[in-house]
Amino acid sequence: MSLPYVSTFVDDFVRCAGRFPSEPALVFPDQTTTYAELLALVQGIRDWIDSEIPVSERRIAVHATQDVFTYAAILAILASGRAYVPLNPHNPAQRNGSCLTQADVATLFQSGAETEISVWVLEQRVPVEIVNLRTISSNPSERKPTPVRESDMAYLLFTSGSTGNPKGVPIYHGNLRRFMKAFLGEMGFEFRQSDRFLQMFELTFDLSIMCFAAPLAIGAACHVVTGSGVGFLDVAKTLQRGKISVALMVPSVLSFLESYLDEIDLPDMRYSLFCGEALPSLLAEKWHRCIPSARLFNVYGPTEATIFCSAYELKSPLDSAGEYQGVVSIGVPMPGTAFSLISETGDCVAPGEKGELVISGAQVTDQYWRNPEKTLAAFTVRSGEAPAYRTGDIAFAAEGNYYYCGRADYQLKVDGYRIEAGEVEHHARTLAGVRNVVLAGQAETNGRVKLHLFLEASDIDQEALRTACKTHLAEKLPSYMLPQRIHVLDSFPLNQNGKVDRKALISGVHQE
Amino acid sequence: MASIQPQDDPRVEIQRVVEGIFRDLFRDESLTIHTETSAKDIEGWDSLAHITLIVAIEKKFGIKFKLAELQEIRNVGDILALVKTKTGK
Repeated sequence: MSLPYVSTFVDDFVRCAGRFPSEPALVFPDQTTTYAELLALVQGIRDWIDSEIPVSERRIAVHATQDVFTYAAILAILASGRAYVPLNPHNPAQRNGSCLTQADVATLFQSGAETEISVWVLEQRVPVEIVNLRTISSNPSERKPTPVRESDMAYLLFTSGSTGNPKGVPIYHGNLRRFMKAFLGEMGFEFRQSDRFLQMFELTFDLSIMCFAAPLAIGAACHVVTGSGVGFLDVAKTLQRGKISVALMVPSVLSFLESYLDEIDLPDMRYSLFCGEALPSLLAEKWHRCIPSARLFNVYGPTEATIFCSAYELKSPLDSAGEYQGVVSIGVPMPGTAFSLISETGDCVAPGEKGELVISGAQVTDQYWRNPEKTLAAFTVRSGEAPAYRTGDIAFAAEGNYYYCGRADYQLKVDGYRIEAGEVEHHARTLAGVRNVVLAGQAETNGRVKLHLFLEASDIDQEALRTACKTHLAEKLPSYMLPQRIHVLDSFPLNQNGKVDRKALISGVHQE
Repeated sequence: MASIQPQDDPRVEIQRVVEGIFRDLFRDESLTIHTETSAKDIEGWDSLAHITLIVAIEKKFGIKFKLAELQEIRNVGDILALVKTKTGK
């Protein structure tokens, strides 16, 4: 028995284009595309897909640069009932090649004649046809999007697998619909057609999908931060000049902007959301002052559970129930999603105890793409039940709210003692001048783990800070928790998604 | 117009010091900068290097850039002009 057809955010976008044709849909620093213009582009590409690509080809890859053709291609692929597979233009061609091969696609869209990946495809003689989106021209038809079922794939993202090959995460229309329903309809957000959403993410990072799909579904504008300049400076500029009213960002933006917060005033902001890594409560409190009319949320969720799946609203001043070890709560699961906490043996933990967070519900996908081994290790799929996903995140619950305590892999064991990085980081974060903190372990040749504490601080006497930190931690923590080495850096390296790159921090130590 | 000796010109001095910071940061002793030099001319001048660069310049000259000023920086000339204004030279 096949599932019934369902509508997607692309149907909503098409309807909005009919109602608000001359309103801005995508706003780039140097160009604004209206709903009518975007729809014409989408229909043109979609017509091309339907006439040139066999129905059996269910996935199409997109070289995901930040321009209007790429966004139009994503919408067109979805409108044709197929799934899109974004490739990050900043990734090495070989890595993108691995994604192309794994995704088993036969067509790659790109906005331009030649890219690193298209050169690689030709050199390696990979059987993938490369299509320059800018050369597709047609008289766009007015056909409605091809109907899809909940079990049809919407997108396939590759996460940076810790070792070797990237891991594919397929998200289905059922998952995405459940997210959109909760976010736009059930969580109490009152989004308006006049809203201006920020889109600061690479299209290979699933937070980007909320940032363009939500506004396009309601007739609002999506302001895209392009990578032409200096990442977070451009974010700040877009927030200010675009009079952004809804912004989903990573906390690293705040760490970077911290010393300039007194220059930032965003009276138009209505909803400010953070996701992607732990949100330090002190920083969130300072940010509150920049957004006097906004509601502030910390949201949480892995790619496997579709964009994000829990939320906590921060009131100002933040009460103590809202944080744990200086990090803001990840709140309660969104409608349609349930959380549970399990011990290492797989049993439910006692109330208040820490455990690995397991997410179940309609937003959760059921597998890693063509990877039964990794799927089995992380997913539980029982017939008639929603899939459950083991996140690898350690959390605990108190009075209904969940609190993130760090990655299970970051739990460090030194001389048999279990050390939670978050606890050490919390105490170090309270030192004056310290913007961000990471505790990481490094295995020595004798098998012992050495603790390295990294402090992000500029304009400071580094030696004095190291001494102050040592003294401070020694007063607060048992000796086995004390880091052997303290490193002070002007700025932390970030990965492509704008999160602190722990691996790069530790590998920097090797070079010393 | 009165001629100015190069060593007396604060702009030359600022450029020399900033060039030194660039050389240290990008580990290239032969690197030269010009007012038109921008991120696309120097390999490794990405957003992280930019932040490190700004912090190093702030430290060296004992100044602090405003966010609005940082947002307007497009090339070395903009940086030099800002340093000149901020140091009052």
